[in-house]
This record gives sequence, structure tokens and C-alpha cells, in this order.
Amino acid sequence: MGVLMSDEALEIPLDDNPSLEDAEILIESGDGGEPRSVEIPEILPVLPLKNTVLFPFLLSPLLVRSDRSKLLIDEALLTPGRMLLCVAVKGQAEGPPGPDDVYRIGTVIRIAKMLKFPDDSYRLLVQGVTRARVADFTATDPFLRGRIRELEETGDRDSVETTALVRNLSQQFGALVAESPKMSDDLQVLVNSINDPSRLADLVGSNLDFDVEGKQALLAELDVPKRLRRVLDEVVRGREAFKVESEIRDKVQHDIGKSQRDYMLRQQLEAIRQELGEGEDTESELGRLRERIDAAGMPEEAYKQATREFDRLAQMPPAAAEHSVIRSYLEWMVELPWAKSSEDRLDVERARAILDEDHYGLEKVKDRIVEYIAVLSLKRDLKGPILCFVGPPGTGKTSLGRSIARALGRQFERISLGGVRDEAEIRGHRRTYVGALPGRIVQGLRRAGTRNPVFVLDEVDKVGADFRGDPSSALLEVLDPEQNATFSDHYLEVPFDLQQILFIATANLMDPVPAALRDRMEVIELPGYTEEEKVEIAKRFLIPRQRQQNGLAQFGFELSDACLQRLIRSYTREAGVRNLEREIAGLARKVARKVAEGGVSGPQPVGPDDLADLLGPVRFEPEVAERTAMPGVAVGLAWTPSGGDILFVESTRMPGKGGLKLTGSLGEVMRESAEAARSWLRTSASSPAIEPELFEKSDIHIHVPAAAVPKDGPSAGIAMVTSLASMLTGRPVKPAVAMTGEITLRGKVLPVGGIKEKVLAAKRAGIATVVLPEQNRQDVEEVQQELLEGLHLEYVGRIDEALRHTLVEAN
Amino acid sequence: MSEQDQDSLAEYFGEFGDRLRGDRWQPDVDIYETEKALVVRVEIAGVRGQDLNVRVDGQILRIAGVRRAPDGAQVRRLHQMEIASGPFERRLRIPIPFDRDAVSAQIADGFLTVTLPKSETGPRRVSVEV
Repeated sequence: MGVLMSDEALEIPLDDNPSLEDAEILIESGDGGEPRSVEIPEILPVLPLKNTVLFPFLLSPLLVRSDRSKLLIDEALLTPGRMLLCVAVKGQAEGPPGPDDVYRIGTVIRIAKMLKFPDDSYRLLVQGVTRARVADFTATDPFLRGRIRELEETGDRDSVETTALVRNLSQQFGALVAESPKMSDDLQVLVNSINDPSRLADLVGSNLDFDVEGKQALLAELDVPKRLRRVLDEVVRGREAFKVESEIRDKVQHDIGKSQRDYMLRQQLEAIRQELGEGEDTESELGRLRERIDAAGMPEEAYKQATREFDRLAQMPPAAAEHSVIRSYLEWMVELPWAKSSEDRLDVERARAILDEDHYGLEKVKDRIVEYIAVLSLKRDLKGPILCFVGPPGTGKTSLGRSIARALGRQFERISLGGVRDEAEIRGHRRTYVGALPGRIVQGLRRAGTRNPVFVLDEVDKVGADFRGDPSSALLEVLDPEQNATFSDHYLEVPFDLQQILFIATANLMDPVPAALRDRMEVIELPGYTEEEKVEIAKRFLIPRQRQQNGLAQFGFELSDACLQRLIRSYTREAGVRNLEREIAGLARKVARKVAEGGVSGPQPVGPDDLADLLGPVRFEPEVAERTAMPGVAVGLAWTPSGGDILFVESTRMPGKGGLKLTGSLGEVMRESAEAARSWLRTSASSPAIEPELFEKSDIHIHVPAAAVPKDGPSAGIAMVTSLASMLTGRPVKPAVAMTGEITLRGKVLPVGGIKEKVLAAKRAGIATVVLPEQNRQDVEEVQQELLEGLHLEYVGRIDEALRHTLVEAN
Repeated sequence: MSEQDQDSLAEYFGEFGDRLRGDRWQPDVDIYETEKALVVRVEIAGVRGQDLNVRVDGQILRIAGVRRAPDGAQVRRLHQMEIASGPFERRLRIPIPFDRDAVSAQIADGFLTVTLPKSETGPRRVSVEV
């Protein structure tokens, strides 16, 4: 059995032996003199310290390893006061430092605590006592030993300067402690508790980032204010450095954060793109754009602008808002036909053939085109003329433009100006606006792909104008041959040459077109077609087209001339052929239905008698004869945008006091011409003698149906006179007589406009005789003779003459 | 002495675990060797013998006790209070072999002096027979 021997704790008995029992202690009464607290021995061991400078009054830990130093510590610990002198080693001395390796000025310290560690090193806690100087070394072995001179501090500790320095230092150091994460906030409390300037300087100095030399200098500075100032400087510098340091750190962190974020987002974007199959990298895209800019053949100014914008684009991240704006701008720039133009076919005969092939009649227009081509073939750099086709709807203005393009071998481009109210539609929006686009001219050019297309500006008379600007003034720049070489679109910002373009404007009416614009265009009138022309057009173009469109090509869909005539006369009333085509299409559909229902084969000619079956009852009857049977109704001729038309002037009288009533939506000019008619009859009429009382005792009423249609103009003057004269004399108006002409109070008949349309309208309406002003004879001569066949024209210079032709002879 | 200095002091001399205890005061200790013995001197003025306990536990010398504070009932107003009081304990590792049975302790002039005679043989081993 084993015996446990020693692990139990052992109580040590105490030998309690108080040796000084109740000794009486004498109480001395002091004389107020300051007792010398510490007696510093004259000769002290000198302990060299590497990289360390100790300051008076401050507690510092020390680690001692070398045997030399441990010997020194042992001796010091056994000496009363436990004092020794610590000095810093100069530089980086190797081996045990000798007298010349250390600074002479050091700090006398007292060892407060000593502890030996298991590895035999000494840990000390020491407290500084005072600054001292080694007068001379008395021994170097086994350790340094020297004769010590205690150093007295100098400088005025109580001066204002010192006080200010103390306060300032305390404040600045407090701020530094608060800012720096490396310093404990307790230091601030400690500093505030110190009042002695010298100790404050030492405490603060020891906590700053001085190197050994700096600390040594601080230690050697015996002038307290100077030392304070030195420390203060360092504190301020430290704060400054710390501020800069933290600024840099913040900025670096921020920069890193931002660039990392950007990078990650870009990576994701790239991934998304690849997922969507759009993985085209920006670089090659930009490169291609650059190539296109170079290849676009821009003039110098445009090229410069495009290059500048391209450079901006290249430096911009694709996510930037402006990126897409610049991109689409450049897309526009490169796609415009700066240098591309089509080769003109300057074959006059071929052009004429094409024009004839596409359109029947319209000789004047075709001549003008052929002339243009002829001149162009002689002089290649001809500026494109600006033609304006004016005429009623359906007369083929737009399709003529297309035909011209075909004849010249040019691209055809058409924009409609109807309802365009904003100048920007013509000239584009500035790029500063969101979603800005070039104007329609530039858009059309891009579509055309060449710089010399035939460019039709449809409905130029229907351009509106309001507070947003007047598009017609923008059109001026487009259409003026003097200006349009440098047409500048707001979006493009660089001029584009429009001179090679053959502009063709179309309009129904010239009146609404601003004078300035009218002035720049060569107006060509397309007055509308006669019945014969319509028959030809129908046979050549409309019927084949409808046959084609309704799938009747192999069945033969034919309309006889008589049938066409009736169709034109009784089912349409127009200057153009648009409604005629519609009616023909209606017929074609009926026939197609019959064929499809079966039972019919072979050609399907449609005769005049079939029309009522197929299209219903006749829509327009010649009504002139019927309506003019009573006295007081005369037929006038009017000019409308859709060609000419006839109008009836009715008058009647009732008992009254000589008033004149005018109804039927008459305009100012027309009302005045009615008054003139009455006045002339009242004053000058002799040939159809009229009782003067008739005017005094009756009210006269003139009405012009249809009442809902506004009418104006002086050309109904003769019709008014005729109507009044007929009513007042009781002589009816001759049947099938129509008339036009302005009148004066002296009885003259003045010329009026739109003669061709009016004559054609009269013919359409079944009029046999037309009374015209003498001075319009020339206009009539321009009308092709075959159109006038069957019409009797009477030219008159005075009202009485006219009345002779219009009123039935008195019996 | 400021708080900060005390901190660094505690940090510095805190290699022995017991010094880190904040709940009791600790008397200062000197330890030195003479020719024959290791001497531990502890500053325990005012601690009565019956309140003091000294034990040897292996290589650890444990000194514990209580210093009585002045009778609180008689105190009217305080002006300065520096002398620590209450229970204390110090555990000191003895760095050399010593004769455990010959350890002696005595109190004189406010110091406790513990004398640990040096032993040539080193720490006694425990042998166990089976």
C-alpha cells in the first residue's frame, strides 16, 4: 500500500512577535520650510536604454535582460532610494554601450517595483525623479557609473505665455486624443489633472510619435515654455497628419467601393447581355460606327461634327444617359445620303413614253418635265426646280410625281404636310429634347437613300400655323433654291445640301399657300378631266387595275363607252377620277360575285342598262332645265377646289319698302355684287324696262342654294343680274344657259378666274351655252378644243349684252 | 498615482494570476535569497496574527488574511482614505526547491516574514507502491 506524502497543504504556524511595542512617537512642529524630499546620491549607476527616453515623474515599465544591467539593478535595489540614472543610447550602438555611446543628459529614476521572471529577465516599474546630467563617468565596469548633476529647469512658469501654452496644449492634445483611435481617452483625463507646465509637457511629449532624438531633445530642453511650444507644434502637426491620413483613407475606401460596385454591375450587365444573345462588346460596335462615319462621305463640317460626337461617345460609359442620345445622332448622321446619288436617265423620249404610259392627258405637265430632263442632260449641275401641282383631288398629282421619278430613274419620296402645324416637323427638334428626331425632310432623305430623289410635298396648302411656329416659313428654306444648299436641320446641326432634290409640291388650292412660298414654286395647274378624258383614263388605267384587283383578269371585265359615259355623268360629279374608280371597283365586285356564285363564264361586258341594277338608281340628274323653268332662276358657274360646279341664283320679291335680303351663306364680296346687280338694274337698265315702283314697293330676296355651303366671290355678278332681271320682268332665263362674270355699276363685265374648270363643270351639268366675259377669251383658247365640243360660248363685254343672251325674248 | 498608471502597473505585474483580482487588496511583497534560505517579506501592518493564514501548497506559498478597517460607527466625516482593508490573498510561486517541513513564519514591525530553507534534494517525489 502506497503512502501519500506531501500533496496536502501545510499550515505554517505564525510567530507573532511585535517588536516595537507602543513606542512613543514625537510630533515635530514644522517651520514651514520645504523639506528636501529626496536626496539624490552624488554618484549613481547609469543605465543605457535603447530606443527609450524616460521623463521625470512618469511611471514607465522597463525590461532588463543583459547581465550587466541586472547587476546594476540589483545594486540599485539594495541602495536606499533605489535610484539610478537612465540615459538613451545614441544611434544603434552594437554591444554594451560605453560612455561615448550615450547622451549625457538623462533622467534619474526610482525603481518602484521589481519582478524576476522565470526566464531570469527583470521587469521593472520605474518612476522618473528629475532631469540630470552625467558630469563624468566614474566607472565603466561591471556597469557604467557616473557623477550626477541635477538640472534645474529655467523659464518663467507663471508667465501669461506659459499659461496660454499650457491651456492650448491641453486643448489640442485633448482633440488629438479624441480623433486618434490609437490613444486611450484616459490620457485626456490625465492631462487635465496636471497643472505643472513642465510635467504636462513631459507627459504629452512622451505620448507623441517622437523618435529617440526628438524625445532626447525634449528631455534636454530645460526652458519650460520652449519645451511646451515644441510639444504643441508636434501635437498640431500630429492632428494635421491624422486628418490627412483619415481623409486619404476615406477617399481610398470610397474609391474602391465605387469602382468595385461599377465593376460588379458591369459584369452582371455583360452576363445579362450574353444571356440575351446580345453579347456584342462595345469596342467593336464603336469601331464599326467609326468606320461608317468615315465611309459616309460627309462634307467637312459634318465630318468634324460627327467625329467630335464620336469622341465624346467613346469616352462615355454605355450606361450614361447621353450615350444613347449621341449614338442615335451618329446613326442618323451615317445613314444620310451625304454623297450617294442615283444616276439620272436623261433620255427625253423614254421619259415622255413613261409619262404617257402612266397618265393620260396632262400635256402641259408632261411638257414641263420633259423640258427639265432635256435641260438637265445639257447642264448636269442643274438645281432641281420646285414644281407645284395645283388641282382638284383625284387628278393624279401625287402619282404624277411617282411617274416623274420613274422617268428620271430617281428614288421617289413623299411626305404629307396636311395638318403639319409645328415648325419642328420640317426642321427637326434640337437634340436637347428627349426623343428628338430630325425633321421630315431629313427623314425622307434617309428613307430615299440618295441625295437626289423626287420629293413630293403633298398638301402644301394644308399646312397649319399656330403658336408653335409656322411650318411654311421652314418650308421656305427647304424650297428656296438660293437657301436650300445649306439647309440646316435642328437635330443634325450641320447643313445638308438639298439642291439636287427635285421637289414637287401639290395643293388643291393656291390661295392658302403663303405668298412667299408660292413665289418660290413653279405652279402647274391640273384643272381636272373632261368626260372624254375620264373615259380614256378609265379604259386605260382604272378598268385594268380593278380587273386585276378583283381577280377578274381571266374573265374579262369590260365596260362599254356608253356605260362609262353614263357612269361618269350620272353616278359621279367630280373633276378627278377618284370616285369614278370607286364606282368601277363597285361594278367589278358585283361582277366578281356573280362569277363566284357560278353560272357565268366568259367575258362579262357591262352595258349602260346594267348600271341601275348593279349600282342602284342614278345619283346625279341634269336638273338645269327643270329648275330654270320659272322666271328668277339663273345658273351661275362656280370654281371649287374639287373642280368647277354650277350654282343656281334664285330671286323673288314681296310687297315691302325696297329692302334687299340675301341668303345662302354668301360672303361679303358676293353680297356686294348682289347689291351692285340691283343698283345697276335700278339705275341703268333700259333694255329690259323695269318699273321703278317695283323697287320701292317691294322687298327683294336673293337666295343661292345650297344654303349650307359658304360661297364667295364676284363671279356670280352676271348670274345675279340675270336672276333679278328675269324675276322683275317676268321673262324666264333661257334653258341650258350658264354664266359667269363680275359686273360693275357702269354695266361692264369683268373677267374672272377658273374659266377652264367652270366650262368643264358646265359641260358636265349638261349646259349648252355659256356666257363668259370677253376678256376671258384667252383662257378658253388654252382649253383643248375637243373638250369644248358641243358647248356654245358667248363672250360679252356689257351686262345688257349678257342679258340678251340669257333672257328669253319678251313676247 | 493615476488610474492609467495603475492599469499599466497591473498589466505589468499581472503575470501572476492572483494580482489581476480586483475584488481584494494585495499587500506588497519582497522575495530574496539568503545563503541558506529564501525569504518572503509581506507588508501587512495592522493585520493581527489570528487573522493571518500561511500555507505551503506544493511550490505555491499562499498568504491570506483580513485587515480590519477602523470601526465605521465612530466615523463622522472622511478626509483621506488610502489604506486598503478587508480580505487579501497572495499566491507566490517559489522559484527554488525548499524544505517544506522547515518553513517558518513570523510577524514583526508590521511585516510578515516567511523563511523557506533551501533544500538540496529538490522537490520531494511521491512514490507509489502497488
